[in-house]
Amino acid sequence: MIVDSLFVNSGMVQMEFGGPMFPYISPNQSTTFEKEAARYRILPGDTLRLMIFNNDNKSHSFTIRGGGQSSPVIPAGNSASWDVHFSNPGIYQFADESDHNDVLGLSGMIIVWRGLDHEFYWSLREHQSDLNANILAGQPFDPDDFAPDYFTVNEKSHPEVQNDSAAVISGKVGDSIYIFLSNQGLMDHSIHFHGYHIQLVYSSINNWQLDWIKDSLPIKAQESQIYLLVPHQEGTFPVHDHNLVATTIGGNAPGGMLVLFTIDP
Amino acid sequence: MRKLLLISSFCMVFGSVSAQVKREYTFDSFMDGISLLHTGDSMNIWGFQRLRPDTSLKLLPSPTIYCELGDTVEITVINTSFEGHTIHLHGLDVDQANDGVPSTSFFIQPGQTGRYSFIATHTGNYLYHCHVTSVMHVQLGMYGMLVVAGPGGQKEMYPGGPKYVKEYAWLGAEIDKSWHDDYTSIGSFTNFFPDYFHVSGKSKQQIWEDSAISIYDARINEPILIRAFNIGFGIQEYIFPSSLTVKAIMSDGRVLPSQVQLHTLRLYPGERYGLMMWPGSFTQDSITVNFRNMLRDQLWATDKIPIEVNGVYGIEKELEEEILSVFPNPGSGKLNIRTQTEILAIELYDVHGHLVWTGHSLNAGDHAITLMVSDGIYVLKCEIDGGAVTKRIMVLSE
Repeated sequence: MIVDSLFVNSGMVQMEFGGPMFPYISPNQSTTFEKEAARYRILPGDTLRLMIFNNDNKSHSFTIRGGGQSSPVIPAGNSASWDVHFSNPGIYQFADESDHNDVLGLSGMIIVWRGLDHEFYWSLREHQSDLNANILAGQPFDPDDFAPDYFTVNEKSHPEVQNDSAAVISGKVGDSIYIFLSNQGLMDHSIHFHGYHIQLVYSSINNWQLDWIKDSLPIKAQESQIYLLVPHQEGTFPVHDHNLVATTIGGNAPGGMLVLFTIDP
Repeated sequence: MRKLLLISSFCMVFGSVSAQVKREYTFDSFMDGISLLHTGDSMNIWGFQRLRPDTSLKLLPSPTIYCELGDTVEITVINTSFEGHTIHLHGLDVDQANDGVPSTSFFIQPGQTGRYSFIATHTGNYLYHCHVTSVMHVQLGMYGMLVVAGPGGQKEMYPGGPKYVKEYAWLGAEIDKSWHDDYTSIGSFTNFFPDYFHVSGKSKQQIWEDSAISIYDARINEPILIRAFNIGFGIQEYIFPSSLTVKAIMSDGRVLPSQVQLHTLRLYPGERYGLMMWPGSFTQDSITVNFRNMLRDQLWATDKIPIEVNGVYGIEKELEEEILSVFPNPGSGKLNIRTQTEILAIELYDVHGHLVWTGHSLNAGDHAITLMVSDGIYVLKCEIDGGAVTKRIMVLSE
């Protein structure tokens, strides 16, 4: 049994320096609100006991997307315990999908995989800075009208994401580097690596590209994937969404879903 | 023995190196091109034009870079435009210096010249594009296809891989014309609302008129290579008629673990595919191309790529009507053959290329023959002195 905490925190976020502030609800691992969503890493066969503390002003509950497991409903200011068990290795998404809470930020990833020497994590997400306040005010939201202006990895746009050691790949030539991706957003993305081809070693859906070696890999909304990168050369290269609109930040370029990484000799 | 092995190794390496070719491309980057749209409107484009002694053309997409496996390729970019540019060699896994990203490689400022080089280590389909303010420079047209063919120009997808007779290249992209009309007024780059949808820079009737995109004159069982590229910001979805057998063989310059037969191919931004296609029957049909948004698969637009299959692979094509005519066609199987030359032998093939009937020789003149075959479409092959004449016929019950 692995015991961990999930705090439902609400606050205001800013996706770029000088950019708009907008309300956000985040699953965190402490009482301090931060925009980066909680990430849980367990081994196959483990049961995860999440102690959920609802610090928001409305009730919440979580489900495992595609997994059928649901947490109790936790009223505002209350807490509850939720045991989740995963019989198969993979990446699972927990989310509160009621009232578009997941669009407001309330989802995250649970990685169930064997231990690895070099692993990195990317939670992919889009944000429409003028939307969240409207959702919280109870205004209707049609996902077909979603118009994001921020595109993030671990809830951070480039260049801020460069400070995230969990996102910025590092390693040496010949290392086996695993990247755990979870697309928490409403949009599909197409992840393009400069300098390297990588292998898709896991997908949470029936993905025909499993085991393929590619440089540009689609990931559908709510899909999770694992990439294996074995670098053949040193250097500093970008990896980014090749929907180049997503390599912008607040409408400017470059930024957004873009990470610069370095491989050493 | 060790000496022999060393000599043998040296010969293999030397032989390989000596077979390599150095290819040089010189481009001028431009920001003042004009491209004609299918509506008759024109559109401002940026791009790379190949400098030639005679003439240079400002095209959308920019010219295809062609090389063969093992080649050394050098690309020189002379920037005569008024903004900085680069060339990113998309998918070629070049080193950092040649990657074309301004912050990690180098920037070709106005008036400067930049050089890129790489060795083509894998056959397949790649892209090149400017990586300066990529969302804008790519949208405005600074991209092209890059093809690594088999060694010596062999028509096989990779050494020992499937062979092909013909090839077509489809480069998909969406166009927001307002960006092209005045790039200084784009505002937010998230304001992307495409209104034109291109396959290799063409749409609608422009596609039908372009034999490098449209498949005319295909034959049953003819192996055709389709090179598919997506430089756009959305999904391109190709839906093939059921009469075509289509297999995905390669993607992003790598051979797939196993060939995948498909009727629908969805290309995401930056992806490339190598498909093999074999027509299965005579047809005049089209391949549907849907352009979709990355948001919830919303359909932006649909276009068509025509395909006409009018012969059988391995059997010569029809000659002029006056040499040999067959009537009535369609008919019941009782045919009149009018020939101006002696027919040495007659063979009838079904749509799968199988021999289903043979006939005797015929002198010049009019003849009546009866085909003992079921209803369907066939190819009648008449051997004549110095070659053969074929006719497509349809047999229908009376």
